[in-house]
Amino acid sequence: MIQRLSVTRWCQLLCVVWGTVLSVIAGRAVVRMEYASAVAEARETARDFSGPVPGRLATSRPLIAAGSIVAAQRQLARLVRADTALLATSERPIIWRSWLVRYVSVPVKDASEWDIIGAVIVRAAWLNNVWWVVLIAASAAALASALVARGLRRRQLPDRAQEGTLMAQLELTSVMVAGAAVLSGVLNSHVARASALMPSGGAASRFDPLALEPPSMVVHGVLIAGMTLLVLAVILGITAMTTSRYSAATKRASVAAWAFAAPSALHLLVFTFVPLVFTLYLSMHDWDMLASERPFIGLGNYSEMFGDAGFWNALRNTMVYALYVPVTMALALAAALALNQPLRGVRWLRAIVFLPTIVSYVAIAMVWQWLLNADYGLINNVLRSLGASGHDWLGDPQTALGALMVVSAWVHIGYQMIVYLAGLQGVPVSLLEAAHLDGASAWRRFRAITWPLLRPVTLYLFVTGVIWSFQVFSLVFVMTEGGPARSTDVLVFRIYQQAFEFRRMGYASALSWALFALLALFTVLQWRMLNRRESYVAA
Amino acid sequence: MIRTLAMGTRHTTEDIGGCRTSARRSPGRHIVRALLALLLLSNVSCGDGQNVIVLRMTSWQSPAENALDLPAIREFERIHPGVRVENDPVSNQAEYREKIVTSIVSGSPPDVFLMDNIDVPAFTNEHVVLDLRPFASRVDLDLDLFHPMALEVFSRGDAVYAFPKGFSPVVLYYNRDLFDAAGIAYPEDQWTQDEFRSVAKALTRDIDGDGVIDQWGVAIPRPFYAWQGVIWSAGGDILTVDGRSASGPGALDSKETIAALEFLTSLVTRDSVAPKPEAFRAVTGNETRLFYSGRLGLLASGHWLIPVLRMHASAGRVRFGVVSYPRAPGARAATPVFAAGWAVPRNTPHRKLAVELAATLSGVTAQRERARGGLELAAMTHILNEVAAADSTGIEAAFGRQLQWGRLPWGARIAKYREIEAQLPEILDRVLIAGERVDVVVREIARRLDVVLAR
Repeated sequence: MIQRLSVTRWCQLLCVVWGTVLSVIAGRAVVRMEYASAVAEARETARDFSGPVPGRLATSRPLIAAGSIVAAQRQLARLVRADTALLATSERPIIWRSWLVRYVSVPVKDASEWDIIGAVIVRAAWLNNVWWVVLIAASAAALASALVARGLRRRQLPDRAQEGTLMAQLELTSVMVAGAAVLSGVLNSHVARASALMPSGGAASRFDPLALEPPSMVVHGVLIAGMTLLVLAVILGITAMTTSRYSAATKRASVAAWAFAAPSALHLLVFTFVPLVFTLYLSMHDWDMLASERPFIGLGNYSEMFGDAGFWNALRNTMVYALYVPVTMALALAAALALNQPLRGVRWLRAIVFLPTIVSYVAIAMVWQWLLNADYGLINNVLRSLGASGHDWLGDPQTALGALMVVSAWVHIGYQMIVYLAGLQGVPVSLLEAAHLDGASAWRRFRAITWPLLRPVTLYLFVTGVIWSFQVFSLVFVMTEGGPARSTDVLVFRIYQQAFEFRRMGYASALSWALFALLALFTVLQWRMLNRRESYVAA
Repeated sequence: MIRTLAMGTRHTTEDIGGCRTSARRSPGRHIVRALLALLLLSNVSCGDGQNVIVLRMTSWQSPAENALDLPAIREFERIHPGVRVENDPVSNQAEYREKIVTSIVSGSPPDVFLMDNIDVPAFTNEHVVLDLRPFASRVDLDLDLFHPMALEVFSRGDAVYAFPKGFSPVVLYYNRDLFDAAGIAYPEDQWTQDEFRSVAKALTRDIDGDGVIDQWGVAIPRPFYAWQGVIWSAGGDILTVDGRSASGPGALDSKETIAALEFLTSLVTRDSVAPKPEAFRAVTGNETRLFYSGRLGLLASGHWLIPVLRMHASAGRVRFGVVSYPRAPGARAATPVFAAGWAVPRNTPHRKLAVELAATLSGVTAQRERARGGLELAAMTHILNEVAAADSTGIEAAFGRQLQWGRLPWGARIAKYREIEAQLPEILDRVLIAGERVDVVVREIARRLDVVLAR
């Protein structure tokens, strides 16, 4: 009972927090969108008022424009010159609002966008309408869910079903109403601020604070995310209301699961799947981030990729680099077997081996850069003290990639050892003891019992290790920058270089898809092996 | 203990009942509760009081360099009450470029940013930065005060896309102490490759007689900018005059360029007067350390090295001079001139203030302050001359002399140069490490660059 209540409470809390965040973000996003819309309107209005020559605006236009000049939605537009005297009190309520329409002040600048020569007050209506439509629709959904809940109560379903249903409906309604309230609050604040800053003196700079940041891609994204979240909330509510054929416990668990999973799912959707699809779109365009034209070139980037010697070189380097994974795994297994013994200080040893895993890659790269330095590096100094000659490990194309592999092994061995240790702890002691009593040697026990039981762990480490190795970037970026002679140029470094140094987003996206396809293929193969192995273990 | 648990359980059970009852009898309670919290939050989120205009500027400058801009920024803020300048530098130049491009594209650019010469073509071709010439007079900045070469880096026709912050040619620093110890006369501008080679040989020494060279004549840094001057001073180049091909007369695979690269690499492979450049690749600054510690005779670099060298010079560790690159017979020494300038994105929301800030950062006060720092030459001619006149060592005057042989770097001329430059160190790698022939390597890379340029 207590657990169920806790879940319900957590759901409530989550809904409220979630609704708050959504509302605040969406509210601010709407303000910005509204501003963008108003800027567009203002420019058009200013053109209508003044014509293309900014001088006319300053000299011949009346302070209050006739509403008939502009289109219907801009009938109340007002143009105020920056250098004019104060308006009469009766003319000053130039910014006002109601529940359905809002007016936003926008500075008007001269043709070179140098000086602010006035301000236009315009209505930014379309998004308001959209917002209200969404809000009304969502509220209608909430109302519908309330009716469903009422129907459920009448049918005398178990208390818990009614409670869960009603609770979900209430939270949904809370989100809707709170969203409207917050939006209203944000807009009020904006309008009040704008009002305070409107014509009151002669300095043109007084208008500058009105120049709010224009909406960015981020704002659009946030708005879309907010709307998606809202839709999810509605779906969630309706689902909760309409799944009456399930037991109350199932419904409760389902609602709770959805409530907890939704933020992560949304995050995954917005920040993983949407970009994934977008890169596919990019890969079919000649997409320079700065260029105004980004022509569609179909599979041109892929075609270039297959003919690009640099790509094949990077692919080869990446695959060679990935060979460190099995070597590291073998070392990690050996370390795990050694540190799985009940020895004094074994926990400290485990911690020491694990330590590199939690250190920043950049810090590791810089330290190893010095260790491997040809002139002053510790490794060469040790070699020289032993009578051997030093070597420029990172400067020689023959050894640079190998040096990076050694560093990677050093970084990852701790993590792999810990996972192996966990696997070893799961090996039944009874089996090992039985084998021991039967006279099996240590090697035979490992070969026949431990190793087969460790296979799931091994395959997991192998798959994730190879995936990580294909994504190596930081070490290369800091230690070698792909050199010397492109001997450490790996796929992700090449993607980064193409995208951010050469601004070839389209080609970089094509490379990313090649990497994705390669990893997907590899992972599928591993899954098949895993399935085979599972049946073997089960047998 | 049992009682406590029991009480806790009972209390919770009452809560359940209360909650259920509340949900059934007064559903508005939840709404009111949520509303109160939300309205409180909305007030917090909205009360951001934007009475102060914040101008954002960014650069890849170090903290020491940023400190040099502070007086100009303070002056700007004093003249513009209600305006605050927020400096948000990114010390890593690769990350800086990434940040600038993405912020401009996403519509939230800094109001003023430092533009490197290598970014000028891309930013101006796509009109993402403002032509500042029409506004210069409005902010009382006389463009004629700037050195023509500094201004040329940021100019396209009549348009000027950044106010120069400072500039520098790449020169050869020479260690006077080592020259004196070897009994060699100091080099003079426009010296020849043969003179250079013999000097480098004389400066290269195994001091302790253990068979290992302790003092090198010259160092060849791996980045291309450091040896661009060698190619130009031999009459070669990496691209044709129109910048459209790496193959052809005067370009990368021309006989002049190949000869220049053979001269350069022979300093390592034949004469052993320079260490292999890969020995220094991983950690920057090693050449400088060798230079001021008396183990390197000649080093190619720009004015940005002056603060470090002055510090060591004042401590008595080194005495140095600067000279032009050596020239090939029949050619004339030349060197690239690099510059950075303050640019204003076209989509800044504060155009007027941003241009005023850029002008202030490149203005007389700022130029004098930066010249005092010594990282670069002042971009204004009269300040450049003032500084040279006040410098008793003659170093500043020597730098000024190099400008007459200065050339606009390719990076300031073609948008794809970054892709080209990234491939050029491979020439040294393959010749000096893998032992390949210069002409073979150069022709292969020229073909590759042609593909990039033709794309």
